[in-house]
Amino acid sequence: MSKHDDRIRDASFGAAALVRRALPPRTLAPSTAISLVAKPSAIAAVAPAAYASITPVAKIPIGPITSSGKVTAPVTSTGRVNIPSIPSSSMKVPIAEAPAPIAIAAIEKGADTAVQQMVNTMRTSPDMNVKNGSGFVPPTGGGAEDPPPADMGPQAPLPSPSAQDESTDSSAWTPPDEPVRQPAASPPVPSTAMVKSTDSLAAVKSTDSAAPQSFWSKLLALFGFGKKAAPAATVHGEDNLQSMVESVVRRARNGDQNAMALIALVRDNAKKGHPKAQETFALLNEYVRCNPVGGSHMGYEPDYVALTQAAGGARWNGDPDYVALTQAVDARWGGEYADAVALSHGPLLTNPRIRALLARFNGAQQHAIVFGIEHPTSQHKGHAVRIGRILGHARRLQAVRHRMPLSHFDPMVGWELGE
Amino acid sequence: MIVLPLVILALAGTAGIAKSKRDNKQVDPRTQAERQVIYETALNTCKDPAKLRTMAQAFREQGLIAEADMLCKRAALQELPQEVKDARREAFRKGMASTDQAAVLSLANAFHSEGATGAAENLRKYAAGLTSAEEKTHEQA
Repeated sequence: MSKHDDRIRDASFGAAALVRRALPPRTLAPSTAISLVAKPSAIAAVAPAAYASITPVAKIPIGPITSSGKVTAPVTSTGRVNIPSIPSSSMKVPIAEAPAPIAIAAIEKGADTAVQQMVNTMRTSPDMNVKNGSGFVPPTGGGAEDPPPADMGPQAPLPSPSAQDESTDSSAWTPPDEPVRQPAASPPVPSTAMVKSTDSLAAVKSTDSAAPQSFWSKLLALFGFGKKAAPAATVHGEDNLQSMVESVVRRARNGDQNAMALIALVRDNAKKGHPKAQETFALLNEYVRCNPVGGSHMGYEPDYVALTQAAGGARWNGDPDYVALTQAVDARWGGEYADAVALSHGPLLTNPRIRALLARFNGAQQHAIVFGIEHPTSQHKGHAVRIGRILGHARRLQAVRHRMPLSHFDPMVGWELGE
Repeated sequence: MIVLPLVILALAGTAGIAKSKRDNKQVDPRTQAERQVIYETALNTCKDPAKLRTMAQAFREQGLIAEADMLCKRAALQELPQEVKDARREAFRKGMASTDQAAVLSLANAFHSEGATGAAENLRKYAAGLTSAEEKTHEQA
């Protein structure tokens, strides 16, 4: 081994400690909660008049939200929202449907003791009112988190911390007097063969004609693939078939694969000559022709559709933040950082402006956007998180121009330039 | 008499061949990759001027002059006068506020030549974002 190799080996060993450490990303450093209100004395030295609006604000009117839509902790007074960790799965816009009976039935099974306790409390205390479809009100002093319901309509109001008290709403749900019934078994996936009237699909059964059928069994019965629902059930008549057709098409457009499979099944059986299927297929075609999908949203995630609709709403309302929204949402060109650069040259992204933007989205999207703002280098997928990252980058760029310490922007840049 | 020039020519030829062999000596790719990792790690993480100078010396001895010079410049960044540091910070802020892509890129190159590779990279990324944003604006128009 030559002397030169020895020297380079020594240098390598000396630098081994450097190599062993994980290489920090050379892109923008992880966010350290950049706040435009940090160090007001430094800002005031050169603050333009317009920047005086960046003052500490009291609260952002949203708080940490559990997956069931409940606010479980008050908002911090610094204006920062404590965000729980967001799972890696993409944020999904809740489908605009009422919670399926099967969902409530699944919850009533008592997935865990906390849920069972709540169910028992409701059944034994008829005075405690629970808003149907918006999740369970946790028992006082309880600490268990609500299990996520299967469906949660976006129209459900975002509960404020004060809403956790028992309400005296006269229209609230009250528990039934009869004991807990076992929910009807969910129907199996129907075969593609032609289905006869009564004896087939034996798995779709109820012990008595008065027992309630699940949503899918009713749907299948409508399309002629199962037993007809009992007369007491709500599913009969042309009007209800039309509403079912609308529901199936809407679900399919939102990405519900069960709905897509059902439409395909109806199509196949209509081709084979099944009269009920042909009637239903005609209704499906009529509805699709009369209600086309707006824009080129096919293939996009459901939350992208909702976000572009929100952006469109901002435009039609003459909202000046439309530019910010559309530039953030429409990511076909340039990528996230290009959008952030464009946004940063617009109006100052102060906390009130961010709050105004967040007000156009629902709870889960607000959550995801705030997470993206505070973690602009995160890799979570989803358009709402993407919007948040773009806003976060844009705020940091604006803060750099307005005398924020460069070490907050990028520690290495701060060191290089002598901070 | 005739032999002497031939001897001189033979010696010159031998020296030339030896020099070309030495110049064409291929560095082991693995060693080259290790050196690259060490260099980039030093640029991205090392803030100790003494360590930077030690590594610069090692790189210089291996004939990697450009890398050695860059490490020396980075080691000297902290020893600049305060007014120079203030001026550079102000220039960086103005660069990040500018909409002139060419000016931002020239500023980035200037920072890179002075050893401030992090500032240069951020400015280049910003300039690329300016370009993409302009293209997007033209498309929408």
